[in-house]
Amino acid sequence: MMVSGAGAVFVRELKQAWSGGGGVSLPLGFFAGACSLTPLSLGPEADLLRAAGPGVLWIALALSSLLPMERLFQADLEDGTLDAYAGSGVALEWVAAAKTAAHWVSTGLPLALIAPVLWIMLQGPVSSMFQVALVSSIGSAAFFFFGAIGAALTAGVRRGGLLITLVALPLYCPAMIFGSAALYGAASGGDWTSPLMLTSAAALFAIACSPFAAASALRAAID
Amino acid sequence: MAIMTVFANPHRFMSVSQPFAWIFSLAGVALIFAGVYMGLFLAPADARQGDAARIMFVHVPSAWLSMFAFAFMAGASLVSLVWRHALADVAAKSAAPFGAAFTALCLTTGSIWGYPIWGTWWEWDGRMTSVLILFFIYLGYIALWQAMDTPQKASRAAAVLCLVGAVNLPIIKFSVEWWNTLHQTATFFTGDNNATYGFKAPMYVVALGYLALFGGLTLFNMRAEILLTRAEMRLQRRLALG
Amino acid sequence: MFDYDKYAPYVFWSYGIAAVVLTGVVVWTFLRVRAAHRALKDADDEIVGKGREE
Repeated sequence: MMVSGAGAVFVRELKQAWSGGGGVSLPLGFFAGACSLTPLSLGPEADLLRAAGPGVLWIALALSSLLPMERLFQADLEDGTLDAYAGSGVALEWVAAAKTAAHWVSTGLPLALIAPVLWIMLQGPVSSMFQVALVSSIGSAAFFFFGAIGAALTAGVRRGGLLITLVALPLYCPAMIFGSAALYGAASGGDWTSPLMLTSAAALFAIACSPFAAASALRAAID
Repeated sequence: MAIMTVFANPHRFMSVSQPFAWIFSLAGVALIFAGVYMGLFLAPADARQGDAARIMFVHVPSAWLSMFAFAFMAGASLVSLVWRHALADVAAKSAAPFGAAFTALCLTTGSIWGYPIWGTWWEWDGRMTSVLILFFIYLGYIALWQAMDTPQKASRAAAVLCLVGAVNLPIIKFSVEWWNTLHQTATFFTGDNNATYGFKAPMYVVALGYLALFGGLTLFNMRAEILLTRAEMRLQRRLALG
Repeated sequence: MFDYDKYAPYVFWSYGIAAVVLTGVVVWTFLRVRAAHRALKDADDEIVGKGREE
């Protein structure tokens, strides 16, 4: 019953994300824009971009995943949807997990899908496009679930966007390090699977602990 | 157990804590002066680093305190979340600025020590990087307290953040170490394992002084926090009475 | 008195910054305690002024 309740939340969130205007496309635009501006500041030399590209792509992905976090729980807190969820018998842990998962499917996966395109623009080798998409999708899961903790903590704060950044960025460190290491491995033809495993471990850890921390924070925001 | 009951009740706390706050603070200042005197005058210069090693006496204890203060806040946050303990919230909140101050002190003195020894003001070495991230966690914690409009909401959120940070800190530390060995650059620094007892003593004295000062100032700050809450409550009562 | 060789400025800067930071937190705490006492007194005065003893 719990699980079906969470499933309903997941489906509802997903529908809302894809029907609502701009919710999905804004982070995509930010991601593409940040990556495209980088050569303008670094300079267009291919060697330089090849050396910096994976790191730039990864920090842009992390920041793009923080961008939509502000409204993740805040909108539902303001219009009373969270109260309704809390009263419906579905545990808030499941609500938080379902909302974050839906958010990752609707925004995180598209980010991972355009990552290979940006990768090529940053002079990454075409042969590693698939690896880039895989690493980005796993890494964005870590970013979204850690970011959800920050989103829940600041749900009651108006203009909490910058606060989310300050709260969530330290949690991003492991995925930051291992994800970009995997990208550098993929770019140079070196070892990329072991950093990918560590990125996955960070993502799994985020998925495991984020719902409990987020629900605990949301409970305080509701009452 | 008696201590627990004293600290459970803000009124009891207010009636007994003041002498302790003074004793700890004064003892802290005295110990710090003693340790600095030992460190600057009595301790011999290090065989390898010369007099630059004297920086260690203010630097290393501040690193210990930066971690101790966070552990203290995490413990208080756990107590606050599990037992809804009002004073534990006050304790965690009151300790945060001092923890952040010791972390900032650790970073700046580390940077100044690094220049003559490593040849650079900032080295992305594993330990320095994780202390920097700890500093950001402190800033986030303090900012979260300040952003919330009611203390009840703020205390819950801050406690959750503190525990999340405490759980993640070892993982962050591990990943930073891994990252650092991956990008290992040549450093001039080798560990200082053969420091003599006479060389270590000032460090322990300063560390005790920092610890006592931290305890004393945290008690003072808790008292101020409770008084401010009382003032706020009285004003609200007056407004309610019209 | 001090003969710290080429390291003297680094040692003194470190100890100086430590002194500034520690003095800073002590003064900050002192001001905060004083402000708290003052706020409580103001709140009490307001109540007394209105003729409403607790």
